[in-house]
Amino acid sequence: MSRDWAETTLVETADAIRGGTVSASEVLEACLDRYRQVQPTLSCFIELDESEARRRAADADRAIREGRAFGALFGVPMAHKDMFHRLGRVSRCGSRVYGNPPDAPTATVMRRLDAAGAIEIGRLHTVEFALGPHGINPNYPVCRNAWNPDHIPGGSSSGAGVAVGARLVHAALGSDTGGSVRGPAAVNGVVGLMPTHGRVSRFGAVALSHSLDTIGPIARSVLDVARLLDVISGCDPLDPATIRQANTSFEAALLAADAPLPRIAVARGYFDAGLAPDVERALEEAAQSLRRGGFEVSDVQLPADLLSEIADLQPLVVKAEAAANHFALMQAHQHEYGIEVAQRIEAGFFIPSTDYVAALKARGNYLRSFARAAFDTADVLLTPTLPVVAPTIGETSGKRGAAYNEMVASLTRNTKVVNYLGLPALSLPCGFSTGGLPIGMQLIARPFREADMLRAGFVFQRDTDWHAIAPPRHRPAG
Amino acid sequence: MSREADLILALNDAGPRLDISETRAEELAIEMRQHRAAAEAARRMSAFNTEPADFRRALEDLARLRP
Repeated sequence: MSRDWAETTLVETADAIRGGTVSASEVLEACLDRYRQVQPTLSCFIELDESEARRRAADADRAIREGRAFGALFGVPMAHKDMFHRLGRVSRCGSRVYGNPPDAPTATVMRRLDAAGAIEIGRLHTVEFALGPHGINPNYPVCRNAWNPDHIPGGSSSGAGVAVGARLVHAALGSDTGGSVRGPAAVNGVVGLMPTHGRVSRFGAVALSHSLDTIGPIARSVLDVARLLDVISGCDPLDPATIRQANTSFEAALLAADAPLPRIAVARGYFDAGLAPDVERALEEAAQSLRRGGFEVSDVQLPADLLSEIADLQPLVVKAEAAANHFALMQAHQHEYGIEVAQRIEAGFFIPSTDYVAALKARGNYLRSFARAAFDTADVLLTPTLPVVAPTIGETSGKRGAAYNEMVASLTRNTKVVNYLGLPALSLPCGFSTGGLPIGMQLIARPFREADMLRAGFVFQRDTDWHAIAPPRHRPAG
Repeated sequence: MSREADLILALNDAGPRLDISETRAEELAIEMRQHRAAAEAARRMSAFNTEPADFRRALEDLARLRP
């Protein structure tokens, strides 16, 4: 029986194309076939460049025949959150009012993926201006969870999580300001990586909050995101927030036979509050699996008060910076913003500059205090990515009030604190709810120590198969 | 209307001039109180001379610490 190349991982696919086992065109057709099956139900793409993708796949196959293939992603179809500029094209970031000038230079991460040989086949659904955790955008058809279309896709990188989870593409880039890569990855049963702040250039990505925005990949395995991180990371003079780091390969480090296992601590005291029973059970089972895999797994009691303060500072920074970015656009087009996103930004116009600067001044000391508590006896923290299982779309659309606000806040409770601290974090599947929805666990490492959490995730996926289980193929009703 | 909501409407008139109803101004006043409390906590975490770039130094210092 022939292999379904839409089901394989990014690394398997890229290596098979390079090795001549399958052509880039065959892989693309497998993805397009899956697109035709599930896009009408899931609405994770906002645009598919089918003819251009076919042309580029044919070019890639010709290059391989002629021995000109190069790059770690050569011939692999990808699609990305609609927020990355590409010369000659307009990206709208899910909005009715924004569009980059067509002569805006191509985003650095897009240039790096191009250089690695990836084929961009389209653009993916996003919450308007990448600001919202449930994944609903009134400007587009409703994007739906890859596992159950009645449930939210997660946001804001909604299309990226769904398209990778439902096997339409092998990987996608998203952005993470409060959990927007890790949340969609968790609820769609795939792997999402948020690198250390400063590891990956944001140049050419639509900004939400300069202090917190981080670009990261979503894929089906830890090895996949390690390869993608190798491709997209590195200092960029066009993004002054990037920090120069040693040029090491994360993928090679994972595959090295003698790599030491990091010490893991289950985070207690903030990240384990208010857990749904299914999430609590999945996390405990994940900890057991890691112990069986040879890791030293302990518990660490974290200062819940400190983390609660951090959780309250993250939205202050996001709103202040978003309001500064949106000042002119919102003055001119306030009523063309979706009401929920407009109201999230609105508050930022009235935050005193003294409060905003206080939130930024304190960031270094919050990070030092957290690191002392978290990483004294461990290299990697283990937490649930979300404390809850993905709610239904009906529970999240058009709702207001305290209960709704609490539910939305719970979607980012365990992720947004990591953005404020600037630390790297990885979400990967660790089980299913009794209702059949994926559950994600989050690994958090020291700054620029992505290799530690990738190693833990890689071994976990060697010993479990949660990441290899594909969702049902949802077809349109009728 | 609360004094904070009045202040928000006055700041709005002086600055962004968004369409904000009195009801919405009251909601924003609650949000502002939450942000003010967060900022008060943050003020206790930094010194007079601390600058925001201290965060970048903290990231790099912690990256250099070997486990």
